[in-house]
Amino acid sequence: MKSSRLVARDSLRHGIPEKYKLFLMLLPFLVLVLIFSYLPLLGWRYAFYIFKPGFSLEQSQFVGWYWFESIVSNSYQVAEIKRVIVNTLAISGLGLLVNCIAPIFAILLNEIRCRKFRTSVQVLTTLPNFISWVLVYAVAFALLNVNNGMVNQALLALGWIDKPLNILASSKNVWLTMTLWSMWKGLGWSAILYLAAIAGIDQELYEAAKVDGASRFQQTLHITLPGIAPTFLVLLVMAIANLLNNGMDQYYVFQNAINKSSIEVLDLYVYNISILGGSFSFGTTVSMLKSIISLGLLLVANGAAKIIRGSSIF
Amino acid sequence: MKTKKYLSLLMALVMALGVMLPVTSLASTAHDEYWEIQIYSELANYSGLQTGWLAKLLKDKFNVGFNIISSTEGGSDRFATQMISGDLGDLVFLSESNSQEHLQKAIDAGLILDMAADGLLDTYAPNIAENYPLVLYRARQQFGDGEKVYALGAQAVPTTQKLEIDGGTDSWWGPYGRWDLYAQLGYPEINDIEDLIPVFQAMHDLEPVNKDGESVYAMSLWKDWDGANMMAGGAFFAIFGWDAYQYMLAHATEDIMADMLEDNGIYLRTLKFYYDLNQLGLLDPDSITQTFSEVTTKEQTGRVLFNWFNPIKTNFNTQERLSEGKAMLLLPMTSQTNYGYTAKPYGYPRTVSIGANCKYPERAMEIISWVFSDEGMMELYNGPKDVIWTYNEAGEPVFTELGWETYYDQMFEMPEEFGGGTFFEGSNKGFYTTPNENFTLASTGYPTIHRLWPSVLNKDMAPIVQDWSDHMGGALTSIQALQNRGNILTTVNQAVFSTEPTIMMDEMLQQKFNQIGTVIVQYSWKMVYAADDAEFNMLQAEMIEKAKGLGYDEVLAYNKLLVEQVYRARKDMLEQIGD
Repeated sequence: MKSSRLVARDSLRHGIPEKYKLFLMLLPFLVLVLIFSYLPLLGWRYAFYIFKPGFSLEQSQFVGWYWFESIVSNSYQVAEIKRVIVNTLAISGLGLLVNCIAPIFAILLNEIRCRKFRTSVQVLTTLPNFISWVLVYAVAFALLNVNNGMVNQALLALGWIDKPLNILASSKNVWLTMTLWSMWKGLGWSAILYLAAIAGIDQELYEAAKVDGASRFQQTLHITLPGIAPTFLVLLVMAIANLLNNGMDQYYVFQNAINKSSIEVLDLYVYNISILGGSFSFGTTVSMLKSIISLGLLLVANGAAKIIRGSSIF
Repeated sequence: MKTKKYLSLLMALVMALGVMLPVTSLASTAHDEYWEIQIYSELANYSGLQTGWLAKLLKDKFNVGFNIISSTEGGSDRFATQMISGDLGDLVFLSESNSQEHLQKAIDAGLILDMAADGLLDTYAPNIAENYPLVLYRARQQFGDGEKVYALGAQAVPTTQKLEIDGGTDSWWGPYGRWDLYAQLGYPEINDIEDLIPVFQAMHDLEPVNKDGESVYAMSLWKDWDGANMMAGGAFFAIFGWDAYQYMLAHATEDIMADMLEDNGIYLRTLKFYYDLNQLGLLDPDSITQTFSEVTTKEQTGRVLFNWFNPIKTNFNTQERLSEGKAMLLLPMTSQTNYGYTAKPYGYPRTVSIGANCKYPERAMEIISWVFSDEGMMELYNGPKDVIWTYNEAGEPVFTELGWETYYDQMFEMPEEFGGGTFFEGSNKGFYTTPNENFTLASTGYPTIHRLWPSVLNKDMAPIVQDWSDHMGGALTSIQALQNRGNILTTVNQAVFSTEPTIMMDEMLQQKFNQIGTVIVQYSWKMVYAADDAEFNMLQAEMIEKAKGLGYDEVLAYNKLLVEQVYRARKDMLEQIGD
């Protein structure tokens, strides 16, 4: 009697039984996922209409698979899409390679003994992450323009070149320079996660290794690296799923007629044809392609992780 | 306790609402509420609030401010997003491009107010019907099913029936170069654009660096006005009597057309011209990465020797430079057949409309009425009356002392009581759809724009300008010079309008057109910066092949329909009122 009354009072005080409570705590996040990840999929409808800005979809003409066919049926169009996807994959691929630099940087940072030096390095490398790409381009233009650019002036003064270089308007090495810019901007920021992972490694492991006579390098190799490997793997799988998702602002500000053919990534291409060109339906069709390829890549990466390490996201 | 608290809160809310409601409904006819007018403009080069003397004038007269939303950056990008939002703004300024397709789309979507409805036009702007009846006639016939008035055309002239050439000011396009250097070279003959190259070379040898030791280029281009083609590539169209309807060029006077990408056509020749300049180191290498404002600065600092665009060339001709004997003026080019615009009694297809969601249509109409009045035109173009200019005893418009300061120096700081800022900052940044400022106003008997007032024309001419004028048969403006030399064609194309329905580009073609535009712009720039002739020719072939593969010929066929429509309308108009 007594205990049942206690339970009843308990559930009354809390209002809701325990099992629902957890669900309710999760609910806001589910709603967010629904709003930001599933609701936008409704926009895919636009790919099947000729959408005119200012009119509702009901007033627009339904064309079925016309836009899809128009991509596939024209070889020049196929070449355009191929070019854009190659750009996207190449720049993202280079980004993936650069991914390995962040954990190395974090380990090196962690090994610095002088606290003051360490924090200042960390602050200086994290700061660029908070500068917008528009400002980064302003800096790049000031440094690299042909007439008054600092770099050209310096090289000319040193006598290393006799004609100023037009680096911004060059289609050579665009993928590489774009990767370097984004590395400069993001390195310190992405190292933070690894620093947290390093801090989470049990200190007793290091002490035990020291007792066994392990050098600092051996400690790093056998304790720190395996310690941050799971973090690295999760970030890698996520980066692969985001392979096509390399954003557009960076490429938008750096694009010009000369480098456009190698800088136009999927997101920028979709922006250029829909927002700039006003072809919203066609833009939607192209962007759908992105979701499908991303899904495939995620499945592949996840499967690979399962085989190699025996662990995976799902 | 609690109920009481909620009740009092509710009552306070009701009271607050009650106070607010009558105010908003009453203020629609009065000026006692400040109104920040949202202006969507495809013509403005400026975004943000209008400042300076014009802002003060508008505030004093109408208790309004202009908040300008410009769509020029990146072409027609903002139009689509504004259309999707379902609100174009309170005042809507649309450009003439694509045969006014934007206006038709906005009307179809119900985003434009009919000015003829509810007696809006009759009550608040009777002067428009009185002085510019043909503008209203056009509005009704072209877009309004004979009765509605959705948009008023720009550059109209009062009821004059004559198609005289708009000879007021400088030609918008023309071969403008450093006259002082040209004179030093002994006025060499220039027949065609290719002949400019040796002249540039010689000019550059005379002045390889500017006063500050910065390198000087024959030409400096900009990238931000590119659209269907590389804008600089089309710069010589008007100089040779052509006007581009996307990829079909319409001729000023004859019923002939030209494909923009035709072999040895003016577009490809212009690209070759820039390529040659680049090979000689005469083209600014930053052209591809810089914008219009950066070129303006280079022009101001004397780093450019030649330009085909009047508004940018005027930046060089400051009073100081003129007194030093330096000026950028029209160079004589024998084969030039410039596109010469005529008066437009029906108005030019650039338009002003009132948005369907406009908060106070009556107040918007009043402002339009003011701009279409002689008094409004004088103040909009010249500055506040009795501050910058006034009428003398003979009734002739003259500058005040302050006015002369601003005439010689656009950057003159205006006194705080007249709005502050420089005179240039305060000049009109948003309301470009006005009657023609070069034509004589009925009420004064003089043209609106101060450059054509007798008191300004008769002032002492700088010796360099005098020298130019002597070589141009005594011309005072570049249009007069072209007329004297027989280098201008009288064009009515832009004065005509068609009563046929607008030929719209369907969305499928639109998508192709956008992609072709991107390809052409991209390859054009690459051709200009090509390493050698072989690369230039290869890129040219690649550009044409790619454009055709993406559907260039379909767009061209559509463009042909547009041009044919213009030619039909031109014929009608010349039959009706031509002389």
